[in-house]
Amino acid sequence: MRRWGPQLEELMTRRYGSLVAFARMATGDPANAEDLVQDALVETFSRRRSFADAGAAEAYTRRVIASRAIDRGRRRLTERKALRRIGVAEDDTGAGPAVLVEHRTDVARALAALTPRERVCVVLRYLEHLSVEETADAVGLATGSVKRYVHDGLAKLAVALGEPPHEGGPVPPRESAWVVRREA
Amino acid sequence: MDAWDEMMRAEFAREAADVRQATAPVGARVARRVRRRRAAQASVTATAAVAAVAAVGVGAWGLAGSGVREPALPIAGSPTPSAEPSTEPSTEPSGGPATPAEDPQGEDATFAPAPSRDSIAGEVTYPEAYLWEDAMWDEVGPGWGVGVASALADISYLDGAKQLPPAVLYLHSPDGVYFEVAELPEQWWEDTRVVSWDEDARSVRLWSRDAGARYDLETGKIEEVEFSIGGSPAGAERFVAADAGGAELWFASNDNGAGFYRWSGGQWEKAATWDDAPAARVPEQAPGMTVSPLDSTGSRVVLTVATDGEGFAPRPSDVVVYDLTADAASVYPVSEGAGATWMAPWWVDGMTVAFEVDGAQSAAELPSPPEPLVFAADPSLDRPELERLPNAVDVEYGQATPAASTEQVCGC
Repeated sequence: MRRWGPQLEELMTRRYGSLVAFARMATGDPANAEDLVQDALVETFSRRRSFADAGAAEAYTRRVIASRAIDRGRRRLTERKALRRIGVAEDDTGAGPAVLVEHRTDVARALAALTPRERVCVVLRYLEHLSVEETADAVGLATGSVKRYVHDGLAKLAVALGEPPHEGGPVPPRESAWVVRREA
Repeated sequence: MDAWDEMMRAEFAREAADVRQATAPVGARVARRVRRRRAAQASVTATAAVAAVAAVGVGAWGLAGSGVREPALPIAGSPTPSAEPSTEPSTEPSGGPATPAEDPQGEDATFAPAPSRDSIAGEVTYPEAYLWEDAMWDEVGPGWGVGVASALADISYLDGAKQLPPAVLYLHSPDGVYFEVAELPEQWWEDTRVVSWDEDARSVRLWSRDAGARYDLETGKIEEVEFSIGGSPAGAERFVAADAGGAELWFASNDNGAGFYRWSGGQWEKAATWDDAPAARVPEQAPGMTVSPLDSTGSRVVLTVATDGEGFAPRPSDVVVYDLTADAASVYPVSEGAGATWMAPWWVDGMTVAFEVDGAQSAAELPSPPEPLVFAADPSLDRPELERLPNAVDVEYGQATPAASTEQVCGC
């Protein structure tokens, strides 16, 4: 097996769960997160690029996930709009998603209110710790756009979690807001 | 670490705790997909390199360019959040650790070449091609093309002296590599071309002389287009235009009548011409030859309403500009007295159309709102040649159908 083989194997055996969790954070779509990760891994390794080690390959995979998360999220929004145009309510699609929503944490619910771009930019900045420039590079946006999406996303999170947005910077959420709890 | 970081990490840890690890079949499947993609790229890149030597100007796109923006390589030392594999017992059966399986075809395998086909000089040219692989669908994007290599039946075919050669459908990569998708059924061998590509549905519309059909690129299923006029099937169906958004314009006729039909949003409807210009028709280009006079967007087409004049292509009473995207027809009366034979219209620019009037180029601006057109001969006008795509490529990904793909000659 060539060099990419061991790196892929390492990601599949040791980092797959982390990548899927990241995809769930980036998309808010647990049902399709695994598909997204597998597509991203194929994308990462199927071109003739090389990575110094599995960590570098994983970092690249996460950027692919982020980029594709925006594409998929925007496509979903378009589909929802189309459904609304023809009079089909999302509730008509079945009870499954609604039940899932009830089991979400406050943070998950707050993240769900963000647009795909806002969500991915916030996740890359505050989970991946990418700089604005790195975030812009990862998702193909201008740095100014990234700043705006992060600002708007944080403002929405602050409102959803019970804190008004502060001027000029991110708002620390209420402590109780990000304590993970299950409502099952 | 600020509160946002902690919040994100906590949420991430919760998500990670819910995730199960990859099973062996999942790992093997991903590895197999990677091998197929790498093999495909090796095939295409090698072929493209050969083509680049032979032809000046071939771009170094490589099959890697699928039109989707490629993320930048990771920045050294950038942190990557980590979540340890869940220690919670999974409710799902596990197939053990994921180990990408070896693919006997190996990383450097290439596509199988398509069967060799004998071209017929001046009639049909089959490109050298690989057999299409479904794994390649992920690569298809802007810059790709689709088309058919087929022959026009002339008198020697019609009198039975010759057998029409097969019509073959190809996908064409931006580097000029052909992939044979299918040999079409025999009833679609005569002068068949692709006239519209529904990229998302992976289907194309075929047009062959008086018939049209939707062709599923994945399954090969064919659904013929059937128009009904006055309760009877149309006897002739002619493709006119397809815009970049996938809307199509067709013309159909039978003894009960004739008119234009528009395909949009997955259904057929009568075009606005039925109300605004029911007698509008696609004007003649030359005896035995038709081409849709399309503007640069591929959405607006020049139609004419014929007068009762005698001879070939008499002066029209009206010029009609039909906008396929908007489904709107603008009717411009033509001032009387100018010329006897009007044919071969074309667009000088977005607001000016020209006709060959009694052999001389004459142009008129399209006033808004529509008013009678006054055509004036202009010797400086130079009708441009139709821009043609490569052999056996009729339509490009995400693009309107070019006028050249609407050209039809009688073969007589």
